[in-house]
Amino acid sequence: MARYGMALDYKNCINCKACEVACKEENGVLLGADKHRIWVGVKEIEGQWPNLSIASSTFMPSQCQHCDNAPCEEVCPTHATHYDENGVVRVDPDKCILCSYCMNACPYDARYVDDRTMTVDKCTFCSDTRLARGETTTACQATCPTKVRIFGDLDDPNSEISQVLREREHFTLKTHLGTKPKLFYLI
Amino acid sequence: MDLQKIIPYKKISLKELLVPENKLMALIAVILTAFFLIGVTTYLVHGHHAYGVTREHPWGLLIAMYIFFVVSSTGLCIVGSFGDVFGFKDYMTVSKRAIFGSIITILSGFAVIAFEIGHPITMMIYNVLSRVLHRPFGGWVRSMAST
Repeated sequence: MARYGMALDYKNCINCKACEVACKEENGVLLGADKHRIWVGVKEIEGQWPNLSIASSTFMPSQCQHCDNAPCEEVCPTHATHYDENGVVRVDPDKCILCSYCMNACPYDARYVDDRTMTVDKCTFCSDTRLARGETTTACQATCPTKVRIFGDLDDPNSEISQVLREREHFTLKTHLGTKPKLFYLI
Repeated sequence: MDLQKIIPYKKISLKELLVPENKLMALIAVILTAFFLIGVTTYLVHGHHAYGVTREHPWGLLIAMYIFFVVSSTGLCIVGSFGDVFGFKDYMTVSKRAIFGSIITILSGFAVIAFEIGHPITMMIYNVLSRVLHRPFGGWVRSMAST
């Protein structure tokens, strides 16, 4: 099976938040749920006016990192959090008891409580929605105007993401924790 | 000793109290108590935000209470075992109380965690049963629970 990952050309991000809107629309995140499931982090501009460093202002689009060694999966007392056959970290709402241990454990703060089912939910790389319908892109990737996101199979050497990761330098967030995230930020 | 002589008071029977006004007051008291109990239950079950819990900081007061009760229970068990298990005569006098106290605190701990957890019944099935019985039998329990 596939091993899904995402590469983010984050320097192209213009903070339009189209990905957040598309994600909410596609996955049914409730209105007003700010920075749930997917978000764009904003680094404040450094320096004092008028000596502002324009280059210091960067945007960091982020979401669940779908770690290969996920702390949330490790702590789940009921095995509700699991890896599916595509390496995506998923939550089984029938098993989730809402102990919020995973929300504490996640170093990326990627989880939230879904008010409809009263269980913990997170980014699923659109596994339930778009991928289940046979599409090959996620909602955030399809909508991005500056094409920041590249989603695909890391195991397939011919996929776009594998080629990009071979050609360009990249880093992952909080690498020192050993979580092996599958979200790659391209330099 | 006759209390009537020390503090003079009017003797009254329960039947005399059952006038319509008092019945109305009793009814209002019962209704208000019922509202109070409903409110307390709703607060404990659905009012997690009242403990200062947010998405970024999902554990609050109830977890601290749970830890307090459960660790108290552990400590009381240890104190109780000094007399009963290890045979220190000096501790024999407190061992009964310590064990009673540990039972009370562990039950309080379970009550608190039942309010903290979103789905306590699911916890009983997937955490307690399927963990204790482990894979093959746990899978059976799981399939029973899902049907």
